[in-house]
Amino acid sequence: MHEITIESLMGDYRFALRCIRSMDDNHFLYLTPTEREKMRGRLVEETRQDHAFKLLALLDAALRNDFYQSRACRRGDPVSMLQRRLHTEFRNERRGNLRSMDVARRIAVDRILLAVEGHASPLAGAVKRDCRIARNYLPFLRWYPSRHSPPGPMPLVPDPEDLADLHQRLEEQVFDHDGRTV
Amino acid sequence: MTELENLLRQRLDERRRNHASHAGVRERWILECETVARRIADWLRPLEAKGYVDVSFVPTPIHEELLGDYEAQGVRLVFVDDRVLRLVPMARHVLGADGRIDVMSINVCLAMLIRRDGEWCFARREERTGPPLTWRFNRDTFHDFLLEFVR
Repeated sequence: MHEITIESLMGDYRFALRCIRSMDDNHFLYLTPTEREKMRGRLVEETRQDHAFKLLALLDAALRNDFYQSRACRRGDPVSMLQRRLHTEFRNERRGNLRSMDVARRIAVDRILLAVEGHASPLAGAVKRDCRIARNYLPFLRWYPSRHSPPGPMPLVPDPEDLADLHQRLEEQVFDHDGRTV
Repeated sequence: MTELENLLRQRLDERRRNHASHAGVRERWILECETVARRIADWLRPLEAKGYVDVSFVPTPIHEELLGDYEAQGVRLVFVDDRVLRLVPMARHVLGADGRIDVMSINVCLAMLIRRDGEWCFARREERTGPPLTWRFNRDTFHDFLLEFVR
């Protein structure tokens, strides 16, 4: 089984799209040409949503991991300090003595992003915007697994290409502790 | 100008020929739908006479890119337990066949009747994009289908 990375997921996504687009008429027997195009469109949309979900899950994991590492590695940069404060705050809110790993697992990623967004200096407007975009995409991550019993309207579905770009920018600007721009 | 005129005349002739041929295809398809509807009504006549099922013909409006707007005969079966089965003509131009009638209950397509090589047969899609399962359409297979539906 290959390693799941942004690049491998994007590769899989492009491959799936190529397969759907090259499906010949034998895959659509007895459909009208209009029904065939609708079916092809549905398959493309489902593939888009599947991959958006996986990419968003990866982004969620990367943010949690960065949050955890900030404390585990005792990093001293401003964003890490902020994350450590958030860590303590969250731990105090909860009963029991949560392990660091559990704090990272349970805290809402929304909250981590909101903290980074609030911290970002006026010069780092792009980071603020990216955190806001990531927060707007997160409802899809929670909605998608239970979409067959929808509790509400469908949230914004991010494009896999946009998510890959967003992930790369966050990696460079937020996860890269030596060259952080926030 | 003469060359342009010639070209346009050719196109017009071609269009008229296509139109005439499409009209023929449409008329034959409408007739085939009607034949299926009548055949089913004949098969069910004994049950209808006993009041177990009500058979009615339902004209179905269809729009197809090549054939335009037209109506074809569908069938509505209402069983004694109020369950309804509809045979709805869908289109003459479908991929891999010469016409399709959907067999529907409420809004779910339970099976299809497709016309292939001059014969009608049942078809059912087991997977979304896999080859549909097909079997013959005759009095016995229709009877079996209804038995499964009523059960």
